[in-house]
Amino acid sequence: MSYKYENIDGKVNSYAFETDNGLVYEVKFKPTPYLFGNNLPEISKFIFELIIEVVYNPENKFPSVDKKIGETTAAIFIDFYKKHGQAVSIYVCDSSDGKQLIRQRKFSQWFYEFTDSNFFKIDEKLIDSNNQIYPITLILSKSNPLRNEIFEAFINISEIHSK
Amino acid sequence: MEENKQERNKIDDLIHYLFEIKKEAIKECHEDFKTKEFQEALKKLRERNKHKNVI
Repeated sequence: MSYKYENIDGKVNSYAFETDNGLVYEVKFKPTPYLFGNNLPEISKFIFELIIEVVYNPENKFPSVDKKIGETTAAIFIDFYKKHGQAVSIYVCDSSDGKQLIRQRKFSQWFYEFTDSNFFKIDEKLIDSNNQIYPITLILSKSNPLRNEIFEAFINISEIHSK
Repeated sequence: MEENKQERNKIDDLIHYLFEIKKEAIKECHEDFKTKEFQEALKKLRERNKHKNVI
């Protein structure tokens, strides 16, 4: 069972929920129009980076392993896509502590466990010139009419490193 | 070789772009929390959660 969540008034792309431990999370879909550069200009306004952030942690607790957080994030995700069917979301794992691959696995687990079968997800890795790996996940609705073009563009950007 | 380098730079730029967006969004989240709208949403949530706990 997920936590109850609220869409924040005046911010169509932001949601809040509070855990049993008193932590408050914001889930935000931040417009990211230049993901594909100048390719696919027709979808640029539908691209969002998904952010899951603890915004209130009064006792500075380490966020616990709480299954309901994943379930709530997935419920918010489904709600957002009901309102923005053409949305394309990107999830970039924080890499500042070297735990980005663990985060990607956890995100995948949430995704498969709690979302329905109306979405496609692709996991990729971007590798910078210092050979640092950055996992990145793209999610879109199966009914998106431009899904083939979006997949191709996404695969192209992630393939560059291997050339 | 030159083409490869340019493509690497493109990836570096893309990673930088994505992390800048992320950093900006995280900052916005913490600013959002202080707004009246966010606090209103939180109040509504706590009200709903209170009802949830009543049998």
